[in-house]
Formats: sequence, C-alpha cells, structure tokens
Amino acid sequence: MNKTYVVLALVLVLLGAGLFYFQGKPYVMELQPKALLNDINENTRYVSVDELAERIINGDPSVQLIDVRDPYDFMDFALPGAENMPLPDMLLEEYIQMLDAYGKDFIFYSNGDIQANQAWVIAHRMEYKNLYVLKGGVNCWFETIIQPKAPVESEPQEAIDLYQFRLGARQYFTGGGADIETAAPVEGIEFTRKKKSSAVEGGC
Amino acid sequence: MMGPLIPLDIIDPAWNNVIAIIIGIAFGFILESSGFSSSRKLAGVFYGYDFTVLKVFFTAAITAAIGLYYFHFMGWIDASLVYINPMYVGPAIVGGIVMGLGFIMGGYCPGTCYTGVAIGKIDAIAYSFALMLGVFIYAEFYPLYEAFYKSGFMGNAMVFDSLGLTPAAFIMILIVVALGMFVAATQIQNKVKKVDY
Repeated sequence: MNKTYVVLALVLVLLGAGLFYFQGKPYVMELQPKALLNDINENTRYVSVDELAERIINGDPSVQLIDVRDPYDFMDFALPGAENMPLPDMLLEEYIQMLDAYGKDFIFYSNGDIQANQAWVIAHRMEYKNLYVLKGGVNCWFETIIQPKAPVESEPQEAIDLYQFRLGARQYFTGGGADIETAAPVEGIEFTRKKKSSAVEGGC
Repeated sequence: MMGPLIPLDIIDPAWNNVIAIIIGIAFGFILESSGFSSSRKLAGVFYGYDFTVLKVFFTAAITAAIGLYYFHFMGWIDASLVYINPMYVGPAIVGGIVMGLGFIMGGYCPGTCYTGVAIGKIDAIAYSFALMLGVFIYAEFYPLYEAFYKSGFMGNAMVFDSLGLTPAAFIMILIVVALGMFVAATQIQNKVKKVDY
C-alpha cells in the first residue's frame, strides 16, 4: 500500500484521538491576567459625571446606567434610567443578560468607584463590550451636579462655564429652582446736565 | 450565512455574496480538477471501477467534523449553534434512494453537473435541464406527498446523541469506518476491470 496513504490515515486517527483529550476540558472564556491588568490600568473606561449629565440631558439613547449597589440603596436613590444589578448577584441570569442589549453603553456606578470597578472587571472578563464606570459614583454626582461648588472669580472661563452647566443640570435633574446668577442689572448711568453758562439771548 | 463571522459583525454583511461567490468558485474548481465533471466518475462508485467520489466526500466530511469540534473545544465556534437541517426519518430514506438512482442514471450530482456544463459536456447540459424539470414537477405535485414529506420529524437530531456517544467517540468511529471503507474500496477497484475515460 502507498506509504502516503498510511501516513495520512495515521494523521486522521491522531487528530481524532486529540478530540478525546480536549473534550474533557471545556474551554473557559478568560482573559489572561496580563491582558486584564493592562485593561484595568487603561483609564478609558471612566465616564465623568459632567459627561454623563450632558448625555442624559441630550437624550442619548445609548446610555444605560447600571446601579451595582444593593436594592435598598437603589430604591432610595438612583440615577435616571438606571437598572439595578446588585454586585453579589450580578452573575444571575436575570442581571447579567442586561449586558447583552445591543447598541448600549453600559455605565456601572456605585457610591464610590470601587464596587462599580469590581462589576466592570467581572463583566469585562466575561467579554461583554461597551462597559464604562462612572468616575466617583453617586457621591461625586451629588458633589458636582446636585451641589456644585461655585468657582472663584479668578478661575478661567471654562470653570465658570462648567459651573453654569452644572447649575443647569441640577435644575434638570432635581427640578429645584436654580439660582443661576445673571449679570447685575445695569443701572441707569447718572449724568448731570451741564448748566448753560449763559442765558439764551435774543435771536438774530 | 457565513456564521459566526457575519452575525457577530466581525465581517460586514455586505460581504455575504462576495464570500459566497469565492467559496462557490473554489468548490467548482476543486470538483472540476478532481475530475468530477465526467459522469463516469460518479457512476464508477456504483459499478466499482472508481471510488474517488466516495473517498473525496468522506474525507471532506471527516475533516470538517474534526475541524469543527477542535474549533468548538477551543471556544472559537459553538457547535450547538451550528445550523443543522431538521431530520425527517422516512422522507430522508426515500429521498436518498431517489437521489442515488438519479446519480447513477445521470452520472452527475447537482454540483458536478454544472462543472460539466462549464466545460461544455453535452450530457451535463441535458442533466441540468432534467434537474430543473424534476424540481418543477416536484414543486407542482407537492400537495400529493406533503403529508409524507413532513412525517417522522425528529428535530435537529444528531447521530451521536441517538447512539448515546460523545462527539469525539463518534468522530473516531467515523474515521475508522472511513479508513476501512477506503481500503475496501481500493481492493474492489483493483479487482474490477479498469475503465478508461
């Protein structure tokens, strides 16, 4: 018999035997630690509260906020349009399937950064896409959007513009009266008429 | 089509037809270069003087099965999501007999007959017309055998599930059976009088 055929037949049998070796070890979708560390050090996942507020106000349909705090905190206060995904239960089908939605940017938030980042790492390892973390979380949201600090007069115009935006955003999100400072009303300039130096004399 | 690359948006769907044409040309080229554009090649399997068709298609089936399951175990493809034609037991057997008879009588299968047409074989041209006529008759009389056509439905049945084997065990059996068939076919071929074509 032709030698080539024997070799080819052996290759087929070996390849078939290889399947037995692999079938016992199901492949686990997992990021290598080094790649994961790189992704964690990459800060592109952060969304600032100002950016978030602007996107919500503009009605950006791709924003999907995910609240990873426990349900009590979520009931107490949640950012507009947020869905609750408690961190300890996030792997339950009913929660994790939220991340399958197409065309959404998922923004995790918690009170600070930590829990949101933890949820991000888990979801990222499961190879979900378009995941973000709200920098500073709810605390930062309150500090910047709900109770913005007025800039000092000497700060650059950008800081003042940002402050104005935050005041507007506060009004948008709380409905409360925003005391946006407008320039002081211009008072009529006082002027005095010069007294005519001489009495009108008769015409020509 | 072209799953999983296109449904997962790795390749733009606009490439669907382009890829289909490239694969089609490659398939036709391989059929023609293997000599399948001659009706005697296919008929040879029945008369026992040429088993090339059997060897080629069985090798293709085994290669695809091995490759698919390696991909599955590496996590590149989910074998459970691969589309499988639904199984109808009785109709599949009858259909196999009808197709088999057609192959022997015509010496072509629907794929090879067009490679025959491409190189200008008159019997292939006749066969391709007959093929369309057959499709037409089948479609016109469909209500007559619709009940049978839909009988014995088993869903997306897999042989290894029915036999209670793991895919790897079934593929191994398939490889051994195929190799045995190749050896036997070669021996038959050596005994049968050679046909020159």
